[in-house]
Amino acid sequence: MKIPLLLSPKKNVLEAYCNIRFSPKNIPLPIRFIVDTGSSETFIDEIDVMRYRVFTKTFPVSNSILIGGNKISLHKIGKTVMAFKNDSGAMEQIEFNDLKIAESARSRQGTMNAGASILGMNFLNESALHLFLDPTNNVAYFGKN
Amino acid sequence: MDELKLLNDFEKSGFWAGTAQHELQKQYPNEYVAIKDCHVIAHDKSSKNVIDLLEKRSEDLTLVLIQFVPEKGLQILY
Repeated sequence: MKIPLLLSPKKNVLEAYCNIRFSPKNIPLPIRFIVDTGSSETFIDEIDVMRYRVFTKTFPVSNSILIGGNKISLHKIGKTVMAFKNDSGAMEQIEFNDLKIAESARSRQGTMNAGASILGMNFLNESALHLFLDPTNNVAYFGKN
Repeated sequence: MDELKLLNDFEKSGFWAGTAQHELQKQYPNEYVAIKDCHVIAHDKSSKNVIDLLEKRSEDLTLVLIQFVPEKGLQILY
């Protein structure tokens, strides 16, 4: 099984697109994740959560992280179903138990928030996926043995 | 909507945003843009204002990609 990933036109950002579902809505919400093997956490940005019309603060704070000198609170969603498109064009569902929401810094005056949702190492570890990346030939995918 | 179509349409908009980056930077530097079907349908300096505007128009927010457009020369590190 392979899940194709998207290299940005400049080949400097690796993206994974999937639909996520979580309580209380459980309807599919498409998300663009930045694949970041330098991140131990996987989270969706608050801007994406606002598209789902749920409030970040209804989810309990799990921990905090430092991004670019800003302390960001992470709220735990818990069990999530993430549906990716596989190399056959069919949907591949993966359960993930550690998805979080990054509280946005948007409310602070004068700050800019890139609003990125991050797919980190805990996702690869829990789902036992490997990552293949060959930017020269524009090939990138998650795979499972 | 079919789940696969939903994801395909969203991915197309994301790829379009990447290819149109220079044009977006010219028109919407340091703004949040809402993209649907490979078109910018709303923009503002505040992400909340973008979402409020879309809600007023009764847009289905699950179909809309919202992203920050850094000004030329400003790079986002993840």
